[in-house]
Amino acid sequence: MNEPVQNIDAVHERDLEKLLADMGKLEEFKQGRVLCKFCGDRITTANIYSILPESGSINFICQKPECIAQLFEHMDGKRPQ
Amino acid sequence: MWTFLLALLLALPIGVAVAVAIGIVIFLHPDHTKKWVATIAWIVSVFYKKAEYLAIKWEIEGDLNVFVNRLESNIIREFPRVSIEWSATEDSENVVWEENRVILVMHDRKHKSKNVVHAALLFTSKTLLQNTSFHISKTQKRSMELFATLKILEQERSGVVPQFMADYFAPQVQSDEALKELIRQYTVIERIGAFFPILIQEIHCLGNKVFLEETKKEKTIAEVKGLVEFLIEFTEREVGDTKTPTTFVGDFMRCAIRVVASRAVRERGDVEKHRDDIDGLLQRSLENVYLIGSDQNMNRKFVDDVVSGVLQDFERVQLRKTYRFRGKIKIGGAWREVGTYLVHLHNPDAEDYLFTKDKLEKENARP
Ligand SMILES: [Zn+2]
Repeated sequence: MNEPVQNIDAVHERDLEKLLADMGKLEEFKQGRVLCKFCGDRITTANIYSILPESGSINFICQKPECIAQLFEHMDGKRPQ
Repeated sequence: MWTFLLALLLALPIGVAVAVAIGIVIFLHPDHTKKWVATIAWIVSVFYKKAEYLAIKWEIEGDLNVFVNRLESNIIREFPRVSIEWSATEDSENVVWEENRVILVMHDRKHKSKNVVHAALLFTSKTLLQNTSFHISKTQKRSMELFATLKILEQERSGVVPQFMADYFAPQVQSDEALKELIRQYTVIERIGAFFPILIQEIHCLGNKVFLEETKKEKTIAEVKGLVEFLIEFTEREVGDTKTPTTFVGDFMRCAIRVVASRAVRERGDVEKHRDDIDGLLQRSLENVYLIGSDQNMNRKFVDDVVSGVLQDFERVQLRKTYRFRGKIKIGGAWREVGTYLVHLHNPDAEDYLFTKDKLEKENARP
């Protein structure tokens, strides 16, 4: 029963503010200044797919199929630190 | 063991017996259990919001892990089990996040289908096709992500397929002819049962390989294209066809696929020819050799005879899986029932991850 486990980190949308506050991004998010890393669209609770902390900054990715596909390409070769 | 368990259950008071029986089912099928506990948790979450965390977590873990179990019964790879970890929750003081780790945002109950779709996409990319971007084209990777995710959802949670099709599959595939053509090809390959057991398995292994010294991406892209075309040609093979190539060799994927057998060869009972050819493939340090052919009794027996011969010639080579699949393919406008018999031979001595130019040239130059 000792199978390897792959964790998928997740946050419920109702806890998003708590996480963003911890990341120091809550004010920016509330002011509508947080943009998708790939398409530049404004990120909202309704259109957010994921958050990616990377190289000391916090990236946001929207739910557009194109942006999700670009995230997967971007993630290849990256290792959690 | 079962007689003992039954006797034990009969000897217990009814409430305890039911609890023990449930316990046994949970122990034997933890992932299936998660799926139905998730359904109950969704109902409870109408009155008690916190149950939603359990519902989301167990629904996704149940779906993906049942899929992994099923996948592993057809292929030799072992994939990790998925576990959803909450970065922040209402109750917990702790907020946890790390560099280079994607945090998936889960939406409330109105969008629960979306949560499953989003997690399945991430699983396909991170687990099945990890690091493959280095070796295959964007279109190849994207088409495999979309098709594999579609198959996972069809098998484990068909109710969310319409949402996946509307939000992700159709918008990307409809507007891209190359993507559409690859999806068409995977559909044909899936109908002979070779999409996950051969194609995804080999692409997954390719993702773990590193080719040193020079960029080989255009060559690996062409090789993957060649593998897909070979499998398509196999599905379209007419009985008695001797012109279509019978062997595919993946120099970078380090695998070979051998079609066994043409009717003429089989009727002559010519096991030796196939045995010699497969011996030759194994001498080239190929990690996996697949024998694929019709599932008719006579052909299966013939394949098994070839395999026993090869296993006598190579003590270290392992027979890892035999796999029978019934499907339907369309040939010349008419649907035809096809049965595929697939045998997977694995050469543990050939397992390798780092390839220099010299090493590849030396191994590929062998007869
Ligand atoms: Zn975007």
